[in-house]
Amino acid sequence: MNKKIRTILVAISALCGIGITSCQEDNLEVINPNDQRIFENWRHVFESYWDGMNYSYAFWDIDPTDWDEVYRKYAPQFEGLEFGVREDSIAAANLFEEISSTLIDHHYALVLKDGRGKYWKLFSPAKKELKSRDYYHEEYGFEDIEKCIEHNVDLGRITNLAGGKFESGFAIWSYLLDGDIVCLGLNSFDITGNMNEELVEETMENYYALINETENLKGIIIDTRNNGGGMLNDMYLIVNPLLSEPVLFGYSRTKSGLGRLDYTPYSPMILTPSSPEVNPVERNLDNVPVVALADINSLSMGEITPMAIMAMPNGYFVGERTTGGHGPLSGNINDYYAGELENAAFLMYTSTSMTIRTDGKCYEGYGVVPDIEAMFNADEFYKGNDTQLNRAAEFIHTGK
Amino acid sequence: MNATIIKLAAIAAMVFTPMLATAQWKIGIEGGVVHNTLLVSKCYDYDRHYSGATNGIIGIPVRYDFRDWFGIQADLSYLAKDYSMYRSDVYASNYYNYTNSYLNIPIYARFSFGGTKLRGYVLAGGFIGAWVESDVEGNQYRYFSQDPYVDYGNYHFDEKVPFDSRRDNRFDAGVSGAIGIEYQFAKRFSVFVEGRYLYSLTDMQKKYMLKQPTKHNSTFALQIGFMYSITTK
Repeated sequence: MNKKIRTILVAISALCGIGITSCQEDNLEVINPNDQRIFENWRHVFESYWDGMNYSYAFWDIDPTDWDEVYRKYAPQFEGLEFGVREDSIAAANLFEEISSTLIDHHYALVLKDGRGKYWKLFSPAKKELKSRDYYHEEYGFEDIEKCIEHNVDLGRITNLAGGKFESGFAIWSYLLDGDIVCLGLNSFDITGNMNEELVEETMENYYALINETENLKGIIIDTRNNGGGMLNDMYLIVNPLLSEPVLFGYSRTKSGLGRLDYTPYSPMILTPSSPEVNPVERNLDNVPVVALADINSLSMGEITPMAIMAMPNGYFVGERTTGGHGPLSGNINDYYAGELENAAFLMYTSTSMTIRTDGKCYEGYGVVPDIEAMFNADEFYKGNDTQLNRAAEFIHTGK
Repeated sequence: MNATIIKLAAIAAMVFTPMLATAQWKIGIEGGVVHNTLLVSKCYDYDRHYSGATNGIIGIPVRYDFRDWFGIQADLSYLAKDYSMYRSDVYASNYYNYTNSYLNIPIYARFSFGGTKLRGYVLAGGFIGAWVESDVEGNQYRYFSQDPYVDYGNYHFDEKVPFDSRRDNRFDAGVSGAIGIEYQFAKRFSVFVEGRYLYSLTDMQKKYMLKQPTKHNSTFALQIGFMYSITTK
């Protein structure tokens, strides 16, 4: 009997032991890289950067970079690299450039800071990848666009011109091309941020008025060439007024945990028509082609806009394959513990979310491919002859 | 997944076949509620909270008694090991309720004590199993809301979570124990009520990254059941 009781007591004790130990939460001690203020050497910077990428980068599902191998290979190489020793700092910078060189996020930038906290070195893997494309061309300025517009004004092709450039560099313009095509162009998505500025009001009112009042309206061109992106909300002012039905053009998801493959469900990216009470566009445009014009330097909203326009039943994209930075950025790591972070040693500028298109594929690092390819002709462009714009107009006029 | 099912079937056969060959065993049915908690290393995501969730369990217990006070028991259980993840303050509308279905085969040493009709018992052992299905219901921000002056809209979802073979460890194993009382109300029939605990030693994830945060299930079950004696002693 005693033996029986002893056996039962042993079993109960074992159960209690299991219960007690299992109530302990597992802990992984990692400092939030966004909050890190103290670094003693370049090895510390590497550890913080590696952790930040390990837990917050939104593309581990599809990025080919072996991040574990990066740790094994590079951690020993940072050993002994000290702050304040120029050769060591250069060596560390070179290692960081190597490490980040294959990342597919085309928003991505790693900025190293100097001892005073000022930006010292910037690495952008996308810039290198873009330069390797056989159709690569440099960005151009608003002055070059103005020259093309003036050329077409002289030819009598452009009328009803409005727009200009802010001191900040933001430029927006709208006009009527060939008497039957309404064009809106912008070099960044900063309409919402300047909504009360007279220049923006005039340009947008001109855009809406031309759409409403051009009797023989043949098409609309949204020009986001050379556009590095900006506010998502600008889409409500540019594209939503043109819609009669909601348009699903992709899905986005972000991190749901610190595991590299911890993801939230995909949220649909849907544009909805402006409500009739507030829609500045008063006509139905279902039979009017809307053409996105974009190029290799169209990034983020500059290429998400063509992506959305292509999903419209009457939407098309003319131009070049775009940059390939499709992941929205919230700019605040606390939103999802994902994306951009900045501490005393570096800024890691990266997307908060990854985007897939309605075909279920992610084109991050590759870009949006146009329906009709129209390559940049630098010789003609800098003379004022915008061949890509001409190709878009030709498509609207001929359907080919 | 097929390999896991074959392994489980083989183990179940090894457990049950010898018992079928004997005559002194009992079979039954049990069911109740489970409350699961995810034990997760949170690292620095201090505003990502996890809470336990309650769901159900059903099972078929099979038992062989060597003595009146000692036997072995194996179950085939289908249970949910759910949890919720949510944010707070300005992110409070973001929440994720995960429903994770498991097939478990616990094997126990059974110690009982007390009178002839009403007896208490303790189970101590372990379990193996498979993660069968995962679903998530919740709400999160989405880009491109309907309001041009609001950055984010809300997106409500209720969908299957596809398994990712790089990440998800669908093999489940751990230690388990239970305490209960059983009342024999007829010659061959008894009814029992028990509290059971299962702790998954296996991580829900494969080891796929350095400095990987861990995720383990900790599950309490409260269930009632009936046992039928195939033979009487």
